[in-house]
Amino acid sequence: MLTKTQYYNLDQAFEKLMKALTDDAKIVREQNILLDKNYRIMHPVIVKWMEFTRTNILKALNKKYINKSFQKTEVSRIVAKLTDWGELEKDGIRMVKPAAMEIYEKGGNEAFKIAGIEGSFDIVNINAVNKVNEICSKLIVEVNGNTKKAINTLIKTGIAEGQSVGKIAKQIRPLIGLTERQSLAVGNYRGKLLKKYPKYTTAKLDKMAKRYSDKLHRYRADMIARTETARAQSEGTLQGYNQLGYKKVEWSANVNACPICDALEGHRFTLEEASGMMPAHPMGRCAWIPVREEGVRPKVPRLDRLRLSNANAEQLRGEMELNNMMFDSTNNLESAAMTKQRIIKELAEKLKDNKEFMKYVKSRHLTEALSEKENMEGIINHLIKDWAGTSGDANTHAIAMQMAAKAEFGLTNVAVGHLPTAEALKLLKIEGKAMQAFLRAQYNLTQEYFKKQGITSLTSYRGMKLREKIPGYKFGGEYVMTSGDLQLQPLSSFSINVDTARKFAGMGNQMVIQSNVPISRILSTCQTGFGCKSEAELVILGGKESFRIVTGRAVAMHMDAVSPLFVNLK
Amino acid sequence: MVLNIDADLENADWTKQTWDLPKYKSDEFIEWLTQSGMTLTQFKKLPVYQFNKDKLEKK
Repeated sequence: MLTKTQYYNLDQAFEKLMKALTDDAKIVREQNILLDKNYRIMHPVIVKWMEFTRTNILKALNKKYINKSFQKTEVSRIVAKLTDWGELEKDGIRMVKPAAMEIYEKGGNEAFKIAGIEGSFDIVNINAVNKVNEICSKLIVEVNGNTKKAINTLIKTGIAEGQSVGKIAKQIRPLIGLTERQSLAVGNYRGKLLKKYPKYTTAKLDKMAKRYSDKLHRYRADMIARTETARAQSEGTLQGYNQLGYKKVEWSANVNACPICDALEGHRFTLEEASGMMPAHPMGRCAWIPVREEGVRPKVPRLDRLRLSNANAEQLRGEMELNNMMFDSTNNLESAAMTKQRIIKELAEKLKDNKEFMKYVKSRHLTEALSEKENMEGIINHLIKDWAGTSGDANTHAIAMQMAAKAEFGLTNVAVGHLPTAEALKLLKIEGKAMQAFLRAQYNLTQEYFKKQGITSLTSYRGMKLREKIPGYKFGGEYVMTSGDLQLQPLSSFSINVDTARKFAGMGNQMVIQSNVPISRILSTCQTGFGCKSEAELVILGGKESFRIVTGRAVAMHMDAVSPLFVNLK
Repeated sequence: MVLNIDADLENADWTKQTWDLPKYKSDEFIEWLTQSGMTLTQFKKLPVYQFNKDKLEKK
């Protein structure tokens, strides 16, 4: 005879067994297998990103900084001013996005598999790209926000306990990157160790506490990776259902689900409602099942669109890998400010023996207090910032730089007619040689940079707002074929990030140019000179190129139509 | 036909959507502005200011 509890447990086990045998459970199981595979993509990225963030904070958080800041300001401001949090967030998004995109795509393809549709998910759809951006952005802001809060608490606790600035700085270093709760847990653990082992030396206690904090660091990275994998995969699946024409989904809890997820089991939501719901908690493993309405079959996306999408998806992946390589792996995880400093030093090294440039440096002494080297670096900094201000307009310095590029690189067929050159030519007579030397130094640095990486050409993009009509080209209309010439000014901005170009092009009569640029045509990148890192900018040497428009379809709506203009630079 | 996409300043300066200059109106910014031979009024006409003006003037 069974007791009431035994009967209840048996009933529960039977219910779970029955659920495990259903088709929906099979979908959940397959999604869980995919989750584990995708986790292996996300985890190393999260570890790398967290280490990058930690390294950047630790570089800024030294005793000198705390000492100086303590005398001046309150704790919250010390943390706020500790580092450029905005830049750190942008770098984080750039690091995490390719992995999130890949997982999102796999989630989307899973939706096709579940529906039994041959074909593949359109990852380059604008909604997909926006969703991945949103996922990454939320993740980075939230995690960095928690880190900031934890540092704040640690400094406040240190002050309340009457610790010295040096001790606070030393104690919080291993805790950077943990949440507030985890940081306090390490502090408590150390306190308990001290009570339990009063004879242990401080060094030994620190070592034991560090072992515990390292464990928590690993746990935090693991938890974030699992949660974000689930989020990207689930959102991708929803987007896949959307592309297949489903309107509603049903929450299917894992067999061993927690009470939160169990309570949602079987509940139906529209796709809009469902977006953002999963995972319901960190490390959640539930899945969405499409609600098949009677008589309504899943819509098969048009093949011509898919073919274009797949080609562009390949390209996008290639671009992302390159982006990742250029901006993360090869620069020792630098922040934008660190990159600028490195560029200035590398250019100064190249220019220090150039007579013309050194003459120019001496003629433009920034302030009396600076040494010659500091003055030179200051001037290089100004010249790089000039580009960040404008590439031309009516600014004499910028136009003179354009003319200097034309002369230094012997550029013919470049567009200069739009630049008011009278004043610039006067300036060029005085500073032209130095400008040319500065441009040449950037060019050499860029060429060395790519040679080292074995890169011979780059797929790059240009967003464009079109003011004049191109004959035969119909925006948002049917496919068209037309061709012509494209003229660029001596120094012309491109980006290796298609999103940057898309964002600028926006909606309406705009387009994005896609081009395969040989490295010999690149003056600089945001890693080697002129160029904004957030926009993955590269500056190319202009000229006249032929172009071909291959499609005039809704430019801003789908990435498959985002590259209607192909330009091949020789 | 020849398309000169840099003739339009907004197109030429399309990668200035993100602020990559010293903090607006800081000493460093004013120093850079002076060195580059621009007045604040001239600067405000540039795309880099136009793209970012909402954020800059809010602060």
